[in-house]
Amino acid sequence: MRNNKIVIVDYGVGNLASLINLLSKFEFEITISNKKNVLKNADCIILPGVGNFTEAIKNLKKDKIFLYLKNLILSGKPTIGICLGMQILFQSSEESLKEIGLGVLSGKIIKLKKKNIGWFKIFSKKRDQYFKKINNKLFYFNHSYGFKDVKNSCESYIKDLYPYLAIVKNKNVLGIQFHPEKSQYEGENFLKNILLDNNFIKKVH
Amino acid sequence: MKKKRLAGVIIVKNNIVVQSFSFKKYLPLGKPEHFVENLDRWNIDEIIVLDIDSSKLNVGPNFELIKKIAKLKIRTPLIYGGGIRNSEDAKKVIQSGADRLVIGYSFLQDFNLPSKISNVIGAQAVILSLPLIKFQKEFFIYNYILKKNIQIKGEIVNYINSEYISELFITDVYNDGKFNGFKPNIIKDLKRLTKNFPLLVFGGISEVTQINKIANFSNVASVCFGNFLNYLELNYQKYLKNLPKNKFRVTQFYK
Repeated sequence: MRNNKIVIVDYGVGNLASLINLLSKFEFEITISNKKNVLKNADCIILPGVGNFTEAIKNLKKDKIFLYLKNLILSGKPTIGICLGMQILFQSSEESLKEIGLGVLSGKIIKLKKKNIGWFKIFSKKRDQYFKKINNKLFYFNHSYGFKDVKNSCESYIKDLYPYLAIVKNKNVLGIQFHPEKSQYEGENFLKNILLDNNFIKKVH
Repeated sequence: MKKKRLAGVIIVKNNIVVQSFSFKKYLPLGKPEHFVENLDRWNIDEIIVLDIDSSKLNVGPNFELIKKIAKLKIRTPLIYGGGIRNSEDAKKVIQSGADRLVIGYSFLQDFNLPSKISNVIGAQAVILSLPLIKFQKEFFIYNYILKKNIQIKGEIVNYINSEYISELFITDVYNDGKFNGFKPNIIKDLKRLTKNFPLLVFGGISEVTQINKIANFSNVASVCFGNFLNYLELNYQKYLKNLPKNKFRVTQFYK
């Protein structure tokens, strides 16, 4: 198995244990860090979920990696955001009046009318190797905010909650609203396929 | 159609899983890790671990237990409850390996606690526990530490229906631990106070017809089992076989 260097960004929020457990099953080289040189040398950066938008951005700024991370992602570093980690990739969120997001994806995260918690089917517009496999499969969602404008930007949307976004992909950036690390077999398979995909992750050294 | 969830509840006392009877008597069953591993292997929708000593002894959350569970590499959403006193505790509970948390006793000390916690971990991760006693059409929260009942009325209703809470974990105190004991009328009557607030329903749920009846309420998000699931793997297989696929996430066993 290819030994990709995966760096999970530690920005003080979230349950990192589940993600580490899942990735360690695939024998990736996993590092948890918020250090610039470690992020720079990663094959892929993962921004994990669970937390509050303001708190997350504040912590990235406190660690002085907000701008560095933004530029690194814009320069082409393969990046995956999960749940809140996906939301902070956008320009802003209704969850935060004080802080703006990393802005590597266009749009604003909005407050859901009802909190979306549980197992939901997703539907993919694209039929490429990993998206066609997850059509109509159930994944675990747990969020109060989300992205609604799925017409132009999304790969998959939540079938039971159209038009809310499930997955967004833009060049080197992949945002996942659900928790693959908590979606049992389907989630595990989905994340594994992406991290082993040569087209998404290119060695940087 | 949105699926209803099935949750396995593990009640821990003195670091041992116990069978609870109306929050009064407890029968020891075994190590929490074994029960968590089983539920994960069965692909249950979520696992709820409640440490009932933590609040009672005022020692804070059982972080060691959460970390131990996290090391098991489970792939099922984990909800932890017990001893969460403030937003710092809540943050550490999530960092230790839980995905969501349940607050109960501390809420009765500080009705603003959900707001403080959700500012750190997000409201989607905050569940409020309501051990319920119904008496003459009125509802009371049973404070199992002080052995007191607090009526749900006035400002408490507003605090319960708050945007800082994602779901309510309701327990039928009198019927907890009793075979087929849960009375679905509680859900209907509680609607007067909580309207369509999503509920996790627990306490004395054991039969397929009963599960179906409970799941028919639009505001029920999750049907939770404790004792009846912990005893027999066959029970869960029976549920999966007999529950309607359009209403539940009927999965295959895995591993």
